[in-house]
Amino acid sequence: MIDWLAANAPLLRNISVLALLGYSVQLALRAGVFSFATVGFYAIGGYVTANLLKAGWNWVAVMALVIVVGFVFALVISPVLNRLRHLFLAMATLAFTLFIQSLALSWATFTGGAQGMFGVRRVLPQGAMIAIVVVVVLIVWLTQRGVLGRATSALRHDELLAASLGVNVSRQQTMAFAASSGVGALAGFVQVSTTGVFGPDDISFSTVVTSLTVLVVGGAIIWAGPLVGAILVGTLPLYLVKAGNLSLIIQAVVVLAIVVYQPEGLVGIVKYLFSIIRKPFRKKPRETTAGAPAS
Amino acid sequence: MLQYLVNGLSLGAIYALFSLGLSISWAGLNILNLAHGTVFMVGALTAWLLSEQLPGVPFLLVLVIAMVICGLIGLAMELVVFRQIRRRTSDGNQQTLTTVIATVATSSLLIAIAEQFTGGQPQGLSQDLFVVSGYTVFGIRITNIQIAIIVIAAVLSFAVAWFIKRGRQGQALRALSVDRDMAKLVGVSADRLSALTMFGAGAMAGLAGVLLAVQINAVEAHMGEALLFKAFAIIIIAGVGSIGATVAAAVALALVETFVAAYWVSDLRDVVVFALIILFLLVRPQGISSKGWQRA
Repeated sequence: MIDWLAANAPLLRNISVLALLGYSVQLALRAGVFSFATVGFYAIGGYVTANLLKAGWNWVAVMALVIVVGFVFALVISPVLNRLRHLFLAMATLAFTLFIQSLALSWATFTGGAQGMFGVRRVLPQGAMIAIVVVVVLIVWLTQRGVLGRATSALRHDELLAASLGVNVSRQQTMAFAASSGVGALAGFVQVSTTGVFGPDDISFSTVVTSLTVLVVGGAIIWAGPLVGAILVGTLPLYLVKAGNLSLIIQAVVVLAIVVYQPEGLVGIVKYLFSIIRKPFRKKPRETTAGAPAS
Repeated sequence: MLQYLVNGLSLGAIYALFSLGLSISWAGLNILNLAHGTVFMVGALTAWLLSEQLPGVPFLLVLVIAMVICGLIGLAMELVVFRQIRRRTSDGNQQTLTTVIATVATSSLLIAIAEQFTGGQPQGLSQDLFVVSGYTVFGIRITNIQIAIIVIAAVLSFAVAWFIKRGRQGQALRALSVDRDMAKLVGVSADRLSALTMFGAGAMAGLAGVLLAVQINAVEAHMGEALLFKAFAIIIIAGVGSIGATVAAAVALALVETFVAAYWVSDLRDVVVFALIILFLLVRPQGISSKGWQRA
């Protein structure tokens, strides 16, 4: 087990970062917030981590600070986003991400410009990295149950209805957005503190594509979705190496097909298969005579 | 000073050609097409491929072929992706979101294909395709491609505005934007009109792609992404679906950018653009056009 973990360190690291990115998008999405800001916060988390680790900070402190920075930054811009819905929100958050990308290129003293940051201490132990992912998955799972889970689910389907049921729409969505941003920044922290490098290539438009891919391949709303998606997106390229240059095209076609024809993702497919298998064994509902008088 | 005005104007003309398609497909069909920048890139790529494979090919032919190819990509997106999603999901929210994600997936597919051709490197456009020559008028240098860009954009903007306002199909499109089902009831062929809109939007993006590629003399697989950011700003400033305001905002934004780069710090261009986005979202989220949130 330990050997396997050590041998597959790069793969695990990839999967962890992908999963965190996927969960960041999901956290906002399931509360009905179309946010593309994840990669922007990923960039903020990454660059802050790189600078602080270079300045000799302890990684635990850096991690805590990065999450807080993500949270606070999200709360600062949320008044603007709160006024927007649906496509406007998607566009504004994507504009935010594109702006951060452009800023990363031009603000060279903080970000290293086009070359990016390199030679950062790789301080995060593998165990801690896995623990971070597990904790995030647990939080997502727990908040998908109970009162909070029902409230977010209602928000996603119909804001007006949710409001009439006593859900504080703007507060819930702001919190969802803040959580999403915190996890996004955390993904940046994990990426930098395990690879030691971070640059404009890490936060390009293709990262936006990847984070959405992770989400839709696994399943956009189900809690296990991003984890399944991350494992698939992380390992698939290893098997597609034979296809060479075509692997990117194959990947894109697969994703497109899933989005159009199977919007619930792989977890959705598995659930569907289970429901087919279970059908013959399910107890048939009894005849309606059960409660009726005998004669 | 006047020199920058000319440069800004030609940049604004390209912004306008690009943003119009994005704005109309959003207004009419409720599709935020994040692959629009990639379709733009395909236009530029087509020009590059044609000029490499067939030296001496007439520029006008290249323009037409690029427009047709990009139009067909738009059409294919409507037929293979958007229409299927519309059929499968009835929930409006879910449908909008799935469509946005699908456009992202489409864009990654097109970029992956484009990189097969460019090898992931920026490519220079052959000089034979369009011989750029400059004129000096009252001390301002203006090139023939700049004149062509400005004239084409002006003519097309008027054509599109007329089409949306007066044309029969344009009226139908406006009806579609208000209520798709209702428009169908009164006899609008929603499917055919969606296909037409996506074709037109794609063709205009392709046209802008060729023109910009000739002007900056470069083609690159990711060249559409920076433009997407500018188009977002333009749509936020103008309001979705209003043609005149979109063109005005495109020109204004390009001028602001040119002057910031010229008289202030060039790196601050995008900061200024983003500040404008935030300002408009805070003060006037419906855009400068008086129609407010109304679409098209």
